[in-house]
Amino acid sequence: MRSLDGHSPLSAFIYFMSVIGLCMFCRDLIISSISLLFSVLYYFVYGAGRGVGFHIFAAVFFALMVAINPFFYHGGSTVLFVLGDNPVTLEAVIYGVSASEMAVSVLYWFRAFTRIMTEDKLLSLAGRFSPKFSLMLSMVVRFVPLFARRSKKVNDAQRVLGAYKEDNVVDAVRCGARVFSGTAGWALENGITTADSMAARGYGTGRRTSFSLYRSRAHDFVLIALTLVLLAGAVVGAAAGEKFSFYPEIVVPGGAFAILLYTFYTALCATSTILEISERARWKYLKSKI
Amino acid sequence: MEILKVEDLSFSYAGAGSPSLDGVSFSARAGEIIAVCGASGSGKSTLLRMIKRELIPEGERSGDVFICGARQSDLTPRDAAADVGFVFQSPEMQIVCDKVWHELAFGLENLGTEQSVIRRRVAETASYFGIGGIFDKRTDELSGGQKQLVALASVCVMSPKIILLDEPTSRLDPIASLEFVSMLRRLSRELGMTVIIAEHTLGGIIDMCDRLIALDGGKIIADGSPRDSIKSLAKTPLIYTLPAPARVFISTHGEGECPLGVSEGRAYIENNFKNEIRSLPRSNKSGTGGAALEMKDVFFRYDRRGDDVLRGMSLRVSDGEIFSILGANGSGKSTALSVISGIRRAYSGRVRIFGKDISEYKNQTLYRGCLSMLPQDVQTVFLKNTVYEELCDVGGKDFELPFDISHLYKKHPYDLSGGEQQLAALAKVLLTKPRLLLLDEPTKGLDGATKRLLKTIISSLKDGGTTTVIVTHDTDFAADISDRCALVFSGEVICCDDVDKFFFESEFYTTETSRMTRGYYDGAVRVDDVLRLAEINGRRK
Amino acid sequence: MIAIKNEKARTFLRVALPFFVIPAVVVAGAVAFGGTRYVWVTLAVSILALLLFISGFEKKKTGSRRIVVTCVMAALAIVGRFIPLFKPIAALTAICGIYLGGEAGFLCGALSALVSNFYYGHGPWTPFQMLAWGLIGVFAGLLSRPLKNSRAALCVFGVVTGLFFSLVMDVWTVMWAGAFDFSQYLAAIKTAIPHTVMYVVSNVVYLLLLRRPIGEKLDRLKIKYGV
Repeated sequence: MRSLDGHSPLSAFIYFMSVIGLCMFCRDLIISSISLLFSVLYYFVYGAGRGVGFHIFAAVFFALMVAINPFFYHGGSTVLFVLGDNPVTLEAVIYGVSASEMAVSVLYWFRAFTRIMTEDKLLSLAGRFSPKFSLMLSMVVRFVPLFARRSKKVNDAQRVLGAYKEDNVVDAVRCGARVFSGTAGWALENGITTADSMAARGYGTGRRTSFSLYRSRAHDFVLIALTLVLLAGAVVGAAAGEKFSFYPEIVVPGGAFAILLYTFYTALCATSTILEISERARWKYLKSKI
Repeated sequence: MEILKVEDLSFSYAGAGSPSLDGVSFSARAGEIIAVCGASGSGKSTLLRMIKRELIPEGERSGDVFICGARQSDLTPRDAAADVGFVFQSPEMQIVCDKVWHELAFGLENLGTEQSVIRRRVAETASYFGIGGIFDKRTDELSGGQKQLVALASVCVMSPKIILLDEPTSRLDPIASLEFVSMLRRLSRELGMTVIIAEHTLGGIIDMCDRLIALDGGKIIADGSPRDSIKSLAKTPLIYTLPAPARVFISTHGEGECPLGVSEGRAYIENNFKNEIRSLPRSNKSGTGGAALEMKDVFFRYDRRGDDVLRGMSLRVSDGEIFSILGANGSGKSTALSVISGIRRAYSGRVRIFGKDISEYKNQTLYRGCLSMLPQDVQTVFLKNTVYEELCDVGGKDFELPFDISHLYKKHPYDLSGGEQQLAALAKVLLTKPRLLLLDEPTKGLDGATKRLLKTIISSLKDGGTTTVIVTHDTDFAADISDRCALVFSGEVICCDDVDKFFFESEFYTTETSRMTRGYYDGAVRVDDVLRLAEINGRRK
Repeated sequence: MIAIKNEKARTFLRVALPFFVIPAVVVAGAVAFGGTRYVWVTLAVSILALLLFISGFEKKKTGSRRIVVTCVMAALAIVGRFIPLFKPIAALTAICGIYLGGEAGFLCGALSALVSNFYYGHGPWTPFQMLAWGLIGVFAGLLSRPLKNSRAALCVFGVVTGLFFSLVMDVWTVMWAGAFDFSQYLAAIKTAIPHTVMYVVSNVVYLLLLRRPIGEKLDRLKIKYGV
């Protein structure tokens, strides 16, 4: 099995959107817990980021949201304590936990999404839908580092020409605007060359196709099918079964449909981690054979 | 087979008084390499654009262009796009897409080609051009030479019959130019593509082209084999861009076949001139004044974990000198300039400007009446809407320039030709009244006339007491203008000498003239030296 | 995707869609889901709006110069974001709308939101941001004449769009955190006041600072190259 990275953009995109979409759609403590567990697990297994900054942010965010919710919702039957005139209820706290789990897990999923769905892959996806928009996206992606480098060059040139009068902040901002305007002038004027170069290579002669290096192979179809089956099962479970309810008191749904929802969603969330781990294991195995 | 035919083509731009092209006729066969040369403003770029239908500018035109026998205006949009390829001057901006493979596929995507066909053509082209290694790279990370090669490949992927190139090597360094030009040669010889290059410097391409068409004022003044055509260039500024052997031949009114290469030139001199007096009296040019610039054991790197770019560079430039720094790409010359100009700081070693340590120039005083630099890309200098505003920006309302560009004042900086931009930018730099002037590749992409003007400007600045440090690849220019030269390799100054001695003692890194006359004349490093020696010695009977 | 022959009807639809159809879908969705799935509905709707806009754009013929200039503006807006103290996306999107029309404005805003999130991280907010900035571009295009001629109008526009963007993103924050609740929304707005004020002020400042220099350049391109 290949990791998500090795799959085509379409299959990876469908996977992420299914996991995130379902989690956002179901307001359910168990779903959000499953999502949080696997999003964090996958984040680490995949190695979506280094450094602790993001985790600290996520933790603070989580704590704040859990803390804030009970002060706005006073529904629920189990009063924990009364603050001023407002009762703080267990149900509201649990609801807060569920909402923050959802929000934080989505953050984690999107971190991995940003790493896996590189510009390249997103471009190829966009190309399926709109070759023209995809082309524009490609151009912007190319221009950004180009212009950033250019503005450094303009800054250097202007500095030596004595554009900066003093070493202070006001002057720095004023010159920043000048440099930006100079970069913009260069970019716009020379953009005409880009446009001519497009026209010279037949842009606008007819319907465009969009070429992509990514090909959908058998394992992509397998992943898409798996994702859709798990998603469909979970949706059926969510739609037909009892709902998780927070107010007036917490009711955890039971029955076959609820079990269908939870097991299928767990399987869906776990897929990414399993794919990642199995690929590593296979590499280790292959290496040991050499 | 006749692939291109231009018939009595005339064109004037909308709103322009005089025509840019005036009754131009020529035709091209399959596989021919044609150089179209002329000074800037001679109409060569316009001619190229007239052949490419998508790029025909607004204006009034008469005459006709036929491509493979079909009238240009009758072509279908697909054929017009695919059959004629166009490569622009700027490697940076003619690339459209973010990845190399995507750029290669771009033209075929526009024609609505099927995925599998694109896949094959892109793969074939990448292999043929030897750019498989950078296939997955981002286009903005490539070097200038690689970018230009990708631009050429992305045109060739559409299998054009004619490729038009507008000064394709003017922004490249010599090695990259050589590689690019040899690729053009392969396209013509192996694939039978017709290649038409517009150039205003002839050195790099003349010995590979089959035909040379010279334009002047929109008219063809010569059309024939390069050796024949260049004889009629004697009176135009183009002569200064010819290879040294040809210049010697033309200036001495030689007879017969014009020499192009070093060995041919050598044979011409040996057969025609005596060498009883082998060298000219040499004047000692080395500066004796105080130091304008001193570098002592300077080390620099861009990144703490990166490699050193400058490894203990030491240099001394005397007050009032013109000093050239030569060296290959990546040897650290440009980095050295940025350290001297205070844009980057050395992590060890000392840089002194007029005897004062560079870090002691506080509050940007270094850039007021002391030091200034003309960057390699002069468009970074421009911020305003007219040249006049640009100059007022640094010089105040009434400024004085050592050269006259008042005819450009009302123009937008981006409407100027490359040479004019160079002059306008230099004017702006000079208005900061620098005592130490730094020039980064000032001759890159310049035509013969502007190059000569630049030489007179720099020598007149020297008379006014300005010290000039030039970083360049252009050995001819350095030999003409410098007092002393230094060779930089791998972040160090390898040798530093009086200009005549420097070029005479260098084996490879020297002027064509020096290589041509080595062992026959001593210390003749410039074409003018050879001409004088030849005159003194007289012709062989 | 949708082929409407009449140019006027198409323009009408393109404008009407984000302002009438989509809010209607939001309300309908909210009713259908009993007021608990705002995030989902709005997200779906904003993606739908973007897709509809893009598919309409795909059908049209757009000259290569116009495309490149729009992309350049979008890229400049993102590069501006890298400069410390400098957040000119909304201002540049507006300028693009004023000088090149609403469609270019929309594309500039949407593209810069999408691509800048390659650097700052994607999230469920990506389609939201794309739509919000895109709409600023559309508005600027519709109000092009007054905004070009009057500094006062430009200031008002800067304040309004700055507020609009902040409020929309606050709505989003609240909805994302749970079901939409007005008191919570007010609280979110209150805590975001310093940030909102900063954003509005900088938006106005950049509009005033950049409109002339960038506008002059765009006008020049229009005259010289017929963009």
